[in-house]
Amino acid sequence: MSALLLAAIRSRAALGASVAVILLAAVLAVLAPYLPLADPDAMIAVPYSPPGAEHWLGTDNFGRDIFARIVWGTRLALTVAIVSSAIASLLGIVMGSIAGYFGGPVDAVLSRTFDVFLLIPSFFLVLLIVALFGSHIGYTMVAIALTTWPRSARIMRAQVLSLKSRVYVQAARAAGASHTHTLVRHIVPNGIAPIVTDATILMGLAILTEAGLSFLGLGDQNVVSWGRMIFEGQRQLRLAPWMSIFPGLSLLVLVAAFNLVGDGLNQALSPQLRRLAARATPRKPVAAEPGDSVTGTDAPMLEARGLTLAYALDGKMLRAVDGVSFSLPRGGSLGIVGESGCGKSSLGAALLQVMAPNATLESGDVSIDGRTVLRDGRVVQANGRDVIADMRWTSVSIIFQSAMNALNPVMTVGRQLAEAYRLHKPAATQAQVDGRIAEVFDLIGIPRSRLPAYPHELSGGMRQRVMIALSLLHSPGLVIADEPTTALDVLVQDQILGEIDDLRRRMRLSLILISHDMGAVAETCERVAVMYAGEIVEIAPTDVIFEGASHPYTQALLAALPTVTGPRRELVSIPGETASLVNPPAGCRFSPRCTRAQDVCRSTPPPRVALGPAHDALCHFPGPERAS
Amino acid sequence: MRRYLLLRVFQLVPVTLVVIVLNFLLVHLAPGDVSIVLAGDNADPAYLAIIRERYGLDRPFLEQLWRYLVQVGSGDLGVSFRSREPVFAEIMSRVPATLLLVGTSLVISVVLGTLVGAWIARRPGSALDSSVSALAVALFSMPVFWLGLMLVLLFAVELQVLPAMGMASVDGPRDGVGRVLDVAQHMILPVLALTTVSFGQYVRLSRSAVAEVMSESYITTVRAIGFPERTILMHYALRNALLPVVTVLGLQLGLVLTGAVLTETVFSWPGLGRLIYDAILARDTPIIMGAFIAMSVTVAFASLLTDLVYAALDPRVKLT
Amino acid sequence: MTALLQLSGLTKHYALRRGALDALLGRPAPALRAVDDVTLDLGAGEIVAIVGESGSGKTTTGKLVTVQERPTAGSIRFEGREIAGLAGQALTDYRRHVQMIFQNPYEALDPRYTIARSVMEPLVIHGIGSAGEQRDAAHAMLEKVDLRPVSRFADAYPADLSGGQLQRVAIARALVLRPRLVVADEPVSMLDVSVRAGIMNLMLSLSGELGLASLYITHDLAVARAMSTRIAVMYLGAIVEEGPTETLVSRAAHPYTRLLVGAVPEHRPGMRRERVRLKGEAASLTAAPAGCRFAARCPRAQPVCLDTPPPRVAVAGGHWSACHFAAEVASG
Repeated sequence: MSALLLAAIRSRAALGASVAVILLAAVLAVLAPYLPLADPDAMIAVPYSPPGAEHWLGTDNFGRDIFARIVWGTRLALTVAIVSSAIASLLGIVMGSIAGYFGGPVDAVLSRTFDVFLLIPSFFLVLLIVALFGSHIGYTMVAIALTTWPRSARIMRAQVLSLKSRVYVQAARAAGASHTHTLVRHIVPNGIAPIVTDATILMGLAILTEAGLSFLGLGDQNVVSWGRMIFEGQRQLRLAPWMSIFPGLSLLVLVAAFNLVGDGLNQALSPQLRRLAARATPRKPVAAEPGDSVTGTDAPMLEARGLTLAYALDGKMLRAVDGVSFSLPRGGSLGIVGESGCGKSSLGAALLQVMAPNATLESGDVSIDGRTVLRDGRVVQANGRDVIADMRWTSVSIIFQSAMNALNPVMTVGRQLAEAYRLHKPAATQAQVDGRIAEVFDLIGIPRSRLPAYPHELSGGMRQRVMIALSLLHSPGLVIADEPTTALDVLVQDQILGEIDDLRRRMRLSLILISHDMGAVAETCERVAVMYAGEIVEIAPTDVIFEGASHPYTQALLAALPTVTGPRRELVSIPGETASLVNPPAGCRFSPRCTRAQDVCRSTPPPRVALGPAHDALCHFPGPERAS
Repeated sequence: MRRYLLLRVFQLVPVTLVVIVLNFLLVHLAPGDVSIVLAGDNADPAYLAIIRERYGLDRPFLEQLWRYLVQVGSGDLGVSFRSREPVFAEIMSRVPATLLLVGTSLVISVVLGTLVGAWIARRPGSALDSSVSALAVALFSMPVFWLGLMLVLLFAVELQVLPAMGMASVDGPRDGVGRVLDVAQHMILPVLALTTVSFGQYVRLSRSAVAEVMSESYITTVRAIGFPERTILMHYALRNALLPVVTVLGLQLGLVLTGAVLTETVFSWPGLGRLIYDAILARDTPIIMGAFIAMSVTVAFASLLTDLVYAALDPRVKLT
Repeated sequence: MTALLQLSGLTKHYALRRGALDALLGRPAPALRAVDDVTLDLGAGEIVAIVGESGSGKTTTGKLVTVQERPTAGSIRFEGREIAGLAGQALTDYRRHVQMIFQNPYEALDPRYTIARSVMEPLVIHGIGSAGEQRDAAHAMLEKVDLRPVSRFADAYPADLSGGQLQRVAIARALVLRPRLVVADEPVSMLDVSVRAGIMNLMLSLSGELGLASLYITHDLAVARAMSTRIAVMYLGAIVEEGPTETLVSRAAHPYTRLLVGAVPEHRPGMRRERVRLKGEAASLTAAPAGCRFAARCPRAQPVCLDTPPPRVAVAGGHWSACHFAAEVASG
């Protein structure tokens, strides 16, 4: 936890200041009796003295020193914060764990209880308790805890529910561990982080609640409370505004500090939030040049030269695509294969310039359908508009993996298609829109009756078909399919790959199929590019890749692949781990895992070697597999 | 749909029951005689006798609870011993003023807060985002009653441009446009105080919701289709981000009502808050108990409404 | 020879939620027939693969064998002893002999435990050996799964390891108790091809070395082929075909298996294969089928398939298929 906090502090200045404020308050609270302060209750000074050298923050209507009272007030504020949030968190952890872990009727009863208590407006219950039982600070703290614990309980329950299905918890159970062992050793320790985060928010809330009560005159009169000071100051607002200004400021600063720490912890705990905050500086666009637009059919459908994309991640640059070049003829099909993290999906997004916000194109030229859309990593503009913006979906579209929520969950698929159609055909009549959508649905074999369905009402295969229909809406010349069948069952996958293949031939589409599955690419594409650690290490016609690969990585991948056809053979594993993109190995990136590597491989980046028609490899020693 | 609605309305019952039972238990657990708690320290013996009879205080415990449940269930929240008026009537007479204050402030803070939050979420981590986010935290960390006092100090005491007390001027117009303008003028400061604090909440909420939606794959899809950023933000992201905003809106109504009570106290606004404050000063327990029940039922009802809105916004919620 | 593990008539139905109204009217809750009358034997040291698509009941079968779920009906015998109703110490003892390897290596280990502590945990739970012996056993096991040098891995945390390394640790933890049976549920499906083969080879060599029997659950026929000596194909909760691995892959006797084999995308030099054309919707898991559960989608379905449940038809020694036309299907 403390390491986490330290990491969080480093990343944000506001958080550091907040921790400092809380520490200072804690020191003041502890040391208050020993500091050279005036007695906070002594009515000795001149009443209503404005702030000055003698009384830094002035005196109140009884002649008490406000600065001393504020320092003493931190004691109460922190006590209330700590005691009530500790009780609430503890109660929440216990009840939430029980509800989440045992589930069934226990959970049904408990979580209904949390829900009911969560609806009770806590301030009014506290108000009632204090009004009935008297203004003792102990009652106040217990009352605050009793109205806030369901919050922690709900968080804990959700945590336990998610942790319960974690493999290590199941594994402990399967190994014979008792419920107690599982809960105490695995679930609770891994689940309390968000409770601690929320506790800081609860602390702020508790301080404000106590102050509010005191402001209504229900505070404990035996202790110095900032809320009570404001209550007293209210009547002297005209005469002595400092009586209310300073205690209020103290409240604001301390509560804000707690809230900011809660925010910071939250951010440190959730890598997703951190990723959201990461952002690359956009590069300036460039204007189109005369040669940027080639009409006619001699230009390839897609041409990429030296394309490089980097992500800004925790202050480091991660080059996911590094100097990738290839070209795709009209009507051609290219498969891009590689393992997770090799940069294949980033490459797809880079071609359409729809990368994550923390990604930047560092260099490279891309032209689509004869028009240059990227020059030296800069967006090409014509007449003040990005050229790519006019080509998206009309010239080039992309099919995302449907399991990844590529369709909007709160809109019917029919409406999503209609809006996409209207965007590029604003003048279309309703009949034209409906007609075109019906056409693409028929093309893919989706019953038109599914138009009013929401994505969640469709099966995985059907959702993927809707995505394909969407991509064909404006009859683009080029379709990029990014893992279009991952997460689908084998039979459905086969059908969809078949449909994509079929459409490509019938509509003379150019296709880029990005996949981790060598087999899927083998059957759908004429050429295959193999990516490793951000680079295309080999590109060749499909048959050459599968029967005469020259790069050791391609060969190793194929040797590691189990098959159902052909003779059963022993699988050969590739030693080592995938290369890091943050610190790629010197020389050839595959060299640490390559059985063929020599000294030169470890020191010098390999050349791109042409090995035959449309076949080249990034290797010092390309060639057929040798027995080792 | 009707079935869903019925089921949801049915879920109000346990909350109401729990609140009433809590009320009952607290009164019985509180130090001192129950009849005195309910009738006030200075009640004469005759009134004490009436109260004892009314709540059946000489009957067995469970019967008392039953009687209390039936009474409250039929809308009888007891009698204020300060005004000798039924608590229910007292509360209802104050609802319009509070509703005006809370309603106005809620609409402004939700709309403005959501828009501002969405706006800064376009570039999470930018200077604009960081500073507005930090400001939002500062805003909702403010004690609303203190903020109210500071506004009074600035606009009523120093600048003397706005009224600081009550809902209308003593000598102001009684009806017509003049009356409306007068009330509107009196509303400015309390609404400003209440709005400022909850505005911060909604900025933060909508910022994180929009930022999260903007990183979803279907947003990448619409980007690839070619929709301009503005359309994506306002048409796609904001709509989906409204879901968490709506949820929290329901859950946090309790906090808003708390703020309203404290704000009314500062500005002598003649609403529920002022009623509660006066009841505290006079130790008028029936009013405080009644207010607790009224506030709880209101919050439960509001959460029901937000559930319905959520169901309308999100087709994934099954209406069964 | 009695089999190490015998499943007979194994059935697991999950009660689905019914509305309050249906409950009041006394309507029975609908049941999800996740596993329906599964009978399967597993010999000592044998590796049997269960292959099926999502919803086939393969994972539930694994959970029943490892007693993470209790069967609705049927029996599970381990070394001749019934374990379906086992509880308390007897169950703990059983768990010592039957261990599980899960799909997701990234969640396989408690992030707060060091690698060595995770591997030791089963020994701690069962109170086997002194703390020193437990540590030595864990180190020896890490050595066996090729996490060398052990000293580098023993005190590391899961966050420092790659997916393949984590799965090796998970294997070490499963084997540290020296079980006789391991249930492995898709242990390589989340790993990249380049590390997948390493894990598969490791599991094969450890099985041989330790005389371990495995129930290998997977959706991937190619992986099943590489890992097993026998394959059982599941469809909608039931085994539709079982046989020696090579026979089943090359001469399947059930139309569903045929489709599965044909649907695996692979580089098949010089041949363009027929793409699968699936018809109809998959039968429901909630209703008991009148005839063959695959009939609605089967390219060879005849009237008899729709109303008569298919018998188990023996095609050859140890190879059977639940199809009315098994012999015709097997001959092509």
